[in-house]
Amino acid sequence: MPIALEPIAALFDWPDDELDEADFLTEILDATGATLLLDIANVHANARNRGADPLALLDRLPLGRVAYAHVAGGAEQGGFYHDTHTDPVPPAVLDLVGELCARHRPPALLLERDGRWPPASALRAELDAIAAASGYPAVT
Amino acid sequence: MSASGGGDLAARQAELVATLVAGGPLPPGFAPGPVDAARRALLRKRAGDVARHWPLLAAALGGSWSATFARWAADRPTNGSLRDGWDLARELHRRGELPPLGAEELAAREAATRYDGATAPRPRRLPALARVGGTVAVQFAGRVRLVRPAHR
Repeated sequence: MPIALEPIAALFDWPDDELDEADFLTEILDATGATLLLDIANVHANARNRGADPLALLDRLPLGRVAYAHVAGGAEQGGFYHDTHTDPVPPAVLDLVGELCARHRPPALLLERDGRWPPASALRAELDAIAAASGYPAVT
Repeated sequence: MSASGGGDLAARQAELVATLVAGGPLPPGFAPGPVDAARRALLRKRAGDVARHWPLLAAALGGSWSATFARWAADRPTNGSLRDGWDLARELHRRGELPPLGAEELAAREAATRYDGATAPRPRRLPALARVGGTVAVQFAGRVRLVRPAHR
């Protein structure tokens, strides 16, 4: 069974870590042959909370090994971006979907939503917005 | 990996976990603001999951549910959402702060299930009667009935 590794949304880093996120992921994928489950909302969250450029991370990840991508909503709270899965997908995350797919479009994308469900029309609109940003046909 | 080895790293990881879930002090080197934001985010996630196991308790507390749960849970690592909600409901009852809906939910649970506060709850095999304040629930053959609702 193929295994895909999904990097998390982290609010803080280990103080004396030896590898940054891109180096860590590349090394572990090279060592294991696993594929990458890239959560584009986590890329946004980590860049936003570290004060880093999300495109710089995308440019250093092995995008050809992305098995599929997760997209999710979140919210700004207390000076941090939280990957809540219970809020709408913000425009910055949709923009990153576009940036990812312009570099290397993954075989599929999945919208994660864990609660505080909006009306079906709002969910369909989010799915269509993800499809439009990625260049895939509209879902609905 | 440094020459100090995995034991040191494991101990530092345990310290960090204690900071995040058990009210432990911040280990040296970590950024206080971001670690505290992660700690609060974990409490919010726990509050949401406990609310799914104790919907009436959470609904009864309404807008103060998250803060009430977070105050109680800040220095208590989870025992699972069923037990966390149970322990909190009993604690609120002891303090006289359990709202009527929460008292009814607690009474129904106490009638259906034996929970000693320390190990996993187990279904009661025999008929049982549970009182939470003035609220009374009875259980017979696994079916629970509220015979006296909470005073409102």
